[in-house]
Amino acid sequence: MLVSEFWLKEWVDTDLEATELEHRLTLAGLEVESIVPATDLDFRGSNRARLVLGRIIAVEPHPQADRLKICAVDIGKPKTLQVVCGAPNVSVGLVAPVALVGAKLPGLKIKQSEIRGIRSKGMLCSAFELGLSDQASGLMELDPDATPGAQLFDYLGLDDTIFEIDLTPNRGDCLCIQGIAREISALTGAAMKDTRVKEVKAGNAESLPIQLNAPEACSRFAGRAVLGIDMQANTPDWMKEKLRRSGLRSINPVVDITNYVMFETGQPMHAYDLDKLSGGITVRNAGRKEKLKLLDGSTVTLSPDHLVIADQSKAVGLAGIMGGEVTAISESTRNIFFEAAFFSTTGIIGKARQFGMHTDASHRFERGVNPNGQVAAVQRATALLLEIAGGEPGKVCHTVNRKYLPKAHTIKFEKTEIPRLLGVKVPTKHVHSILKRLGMGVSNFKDGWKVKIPSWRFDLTGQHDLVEEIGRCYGYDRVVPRMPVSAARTGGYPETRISLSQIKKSMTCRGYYEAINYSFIDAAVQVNLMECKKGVTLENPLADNMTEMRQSLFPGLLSTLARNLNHQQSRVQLFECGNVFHRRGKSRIEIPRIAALTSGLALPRQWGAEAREVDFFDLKGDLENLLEIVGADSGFKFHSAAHPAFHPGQSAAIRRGRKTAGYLGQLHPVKQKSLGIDQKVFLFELDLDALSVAGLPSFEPISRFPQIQRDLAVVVDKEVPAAEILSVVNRSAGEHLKKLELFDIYTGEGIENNKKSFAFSLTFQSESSSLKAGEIEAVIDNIINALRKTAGAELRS
Amino acid sequence: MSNRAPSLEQLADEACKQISNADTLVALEQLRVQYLGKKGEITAQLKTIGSLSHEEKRDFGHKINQLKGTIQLWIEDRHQNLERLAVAEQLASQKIDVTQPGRGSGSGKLHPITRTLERMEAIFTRLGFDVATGPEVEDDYYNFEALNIPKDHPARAMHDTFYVDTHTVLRTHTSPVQIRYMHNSTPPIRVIAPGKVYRCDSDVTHTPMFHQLEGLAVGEDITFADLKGILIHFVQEFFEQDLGVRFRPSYFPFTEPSAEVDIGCVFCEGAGCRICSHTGWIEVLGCGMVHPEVLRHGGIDSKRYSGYAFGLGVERLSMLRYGVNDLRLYFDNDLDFLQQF
Repeated sequence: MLVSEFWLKEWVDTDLEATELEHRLTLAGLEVESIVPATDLDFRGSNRARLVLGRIIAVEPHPQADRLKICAVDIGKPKTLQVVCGAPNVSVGLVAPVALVGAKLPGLKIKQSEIRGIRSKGMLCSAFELGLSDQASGLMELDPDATPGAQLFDYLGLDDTIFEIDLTPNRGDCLCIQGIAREISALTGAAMKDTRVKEVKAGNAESLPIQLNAPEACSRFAGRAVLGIDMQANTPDWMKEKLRRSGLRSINPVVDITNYVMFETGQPMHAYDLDKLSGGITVRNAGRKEKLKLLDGSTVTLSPDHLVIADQSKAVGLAGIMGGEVTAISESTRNIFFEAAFFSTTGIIGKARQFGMHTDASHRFERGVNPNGQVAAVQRATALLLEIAGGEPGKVCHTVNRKYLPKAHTIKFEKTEIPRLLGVKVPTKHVHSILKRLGMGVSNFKDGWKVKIPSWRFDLTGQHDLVEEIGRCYGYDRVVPRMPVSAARTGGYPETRISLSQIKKSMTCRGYYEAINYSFIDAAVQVNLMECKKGVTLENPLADNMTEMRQSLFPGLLSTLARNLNHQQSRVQLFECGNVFHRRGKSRIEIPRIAALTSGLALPRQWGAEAREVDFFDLKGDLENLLEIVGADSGFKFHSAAHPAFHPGQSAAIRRGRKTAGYLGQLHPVKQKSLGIDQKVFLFELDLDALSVAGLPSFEPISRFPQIQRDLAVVVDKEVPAAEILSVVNRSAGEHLKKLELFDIYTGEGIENNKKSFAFSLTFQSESSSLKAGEIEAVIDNIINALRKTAGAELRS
Repeated sequence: MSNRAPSLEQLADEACKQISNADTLVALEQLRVQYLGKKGEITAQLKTIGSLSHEEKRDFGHKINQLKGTIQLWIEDRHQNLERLAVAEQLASQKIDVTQPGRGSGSGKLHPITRTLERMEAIFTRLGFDVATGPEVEDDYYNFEALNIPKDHPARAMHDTFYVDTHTVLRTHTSPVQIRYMHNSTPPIRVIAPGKVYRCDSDVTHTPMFHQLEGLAVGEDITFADLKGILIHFVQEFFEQDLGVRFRPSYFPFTEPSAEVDIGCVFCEGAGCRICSHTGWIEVLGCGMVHPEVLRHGGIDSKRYSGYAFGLGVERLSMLRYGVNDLRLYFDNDLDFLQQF
């Protein structure tokens, strides 16, 4: 919210500088985001005197240019000033700002000049040229009765400062000058000025009956007719300037007054063209599919949970949000009807947003307005209107339903709550003074104070709220920080717990970079890649490629790969840890996973190592290294198994017992192409749960007896998996087999076409004796027989 | 006699010269055979001994033995020298260029968010905080209702929420973990909850997904003073600087009193620069005393217990710590970026 310092100081008697006010407000929870001068104009030194008001007293055409006029301008001196001007609204009697020779405007210095042969000794200015507006269609038209020669700075009060305050949603009471002034008063002890609104007596009996048919949403309505106003009247310059500094543009005197009162008191108002209202006012719920054309030209279709202001025949306004077009104030309006109503937050909240709207009124009603401020607002508006546009006021129409009107309440505030929550003892006299300056009534009771909450502080409901009021006004900086003194803690992590950090470090040690991708991805890409069912989709995605929660970490990693390949990286190794999201019937599950990807060279290009493309077994090696965290007997096994994203011949399931913990494979070449990637990609994905618990090491005695090593080479059918051969060897090698290493796999010359050869080395050792050659030979025979029987293996000759 | 003595001397001179000139072990071995071998010159000299008198025999034998010993010493000495030279030569031939790069696959890096989070977690766990997590697809109840943000509350407008359905959202903050944790434990509670959160907002300074670290402490004597203590400690330890810390009153529906915390700008040390919008302060977190409604939703008696909660923006802290000037880089995952941490 934009707040003028001058306007504030009309309400609170303080001479604190703007920067001090900024500091006080910010440290009390009204965050001042910026303080800027009301104008960019340089108001130092002589510039002040070179910007004055001028009245045009004669206009002559320029002999050399149709669009230019030669103006004689009265600047309060005996001699008039000759100024050449091209503005469309130049006319005799107009009062406008004049920049005299030597004046500095934003980006411009005024010099005496000749314009097409005619001397011009200054410039008549538009609001834009003065930096007071973003645009201007002509000269800034000031009050025709203003005094020529007066300094513009003084006339418009341009020494003002504007605070931009970022109000939190609980402080609806501060969405006005009065509220912030009250806050400054409480924070600084400065007195509020007497701004009581005088009652404006009715001049006629004009009145409208008001009926509150939805009292839970609207429990108070004040209104007043004013007859015979002059719509030709101008909004005074001082009001226009205040509105401008509050971020509003002047529209017409009536609308300007309703806005002015809203900015001043926080009470949103509306004005109707009285002659377009038929009969009395009813505040009611809208009918089913009732239509209403609004001031901004849009038409809304309503339902019974919307609240409208209606006359006898039709809805004339969307309550608390925007008035209707039919009854709007226009240039031909003669008689008006002011509205100041109290709409409850629950009646208004969320409604404007349903229509994509957000208005100054809805902003305030959604946060709450003072339920007791309506009549005063009407009085204030009437007084202003009579002053500006004349007219004769009718009676104040005021209807209230006290059953639904928020009641004044009192909070029992126990003394002990302050130290209990704030950790600081605030002297009673401070507590009293803070509460009182915030407008609260304070009386003592045995254990503390009874605090009567003013009607505008609807945010204060309990003791904790009052503790905050004390805390922020007393100063959070006066609370002395305390470090925890904690007792020794028992219980901790089991040794076998594997931390995510360990897992990640295992990957980085193997050369992988950690990526963090968005959890939402393009549903189409996901379905195409994973051939999965519809998962967890978003109702309001931010973009077409962020519509569904990921069911796998692959799509994110692959798009990161593609992006890096585009950025001329050729070797990419990435991993990611994060949740994936599945739908199981009506419920959803989240599973933490780790996935990794490698593509390009197996090793960074380097001397002394052959450049080789990465393959399945490079990634498998990295994965096995990761699985080793769990321990040697982790029980993970790899099985040839199809995966929709993978090459059918290079795809494995990672199993532990009967459970599949993940998949490893080469990205399917067709899918690889469709993702715009032109090199092979190998990926794995694994449930992190599978890595959560490690085995505990268990010592075995170290044998002192010699090891015996034998190598064995067998030939088997190509289809026989290595794992099967190794498993047969393990099972048939007896208790003394210490180590089994597959050191060669061979196909080619000397081996039949559909066969392959495995060579492995076996290491035997006994814990209790030296093994004899005969014992070993028997074991080897046993192994060969088992291999022959179960895998059709033959010894390689 | 007189014609033999010079012969021995000549022999010695010759041997000495030859041995010290031998430049290979092979040549030296030949000299050993030549002088000390069975058919060598010393042996030949010994063979002449028979023609001598007893007296001469003793004297000559003594001299020959002496010479034999001397030649042996010379050969051994030369042998050692030659071996040393050979080793030195071999070593010289094995010299490598130690400035050539080492071989291998190199190491990867943790994402800066992980790096930052691990550091944050380490600080809090040392202070006795447990670590908890919660779901990212969250019930409206935990994300809003239980945190004292009823439907249509204006505070909901501060959270641009992604909806999965009417009752389910992507959590907009890590605060729902507070409620879940309170449901499963009894005071005293001291816990942090790091994780991903989501807001329907994307521009230069907002990404639709980011990370927060939530903190919660509930106990019998927990006050705003403890909150200040723990956060000031955190900020100064995290940045390893004696930074100013400012608690500014603010509003969150789930805390009362509430505060936003500003730290002295880490770039200009409070003098005012572009990063801190010339204020000297940078906002880093929101916090406050847990609202009694929230304690009630967590099943905790707010008359007996009080608590504080805070929510730290991980990206923000990471950017300040490492001087990263664009939030979006964190989720582009360019290797050029990731390699820097």
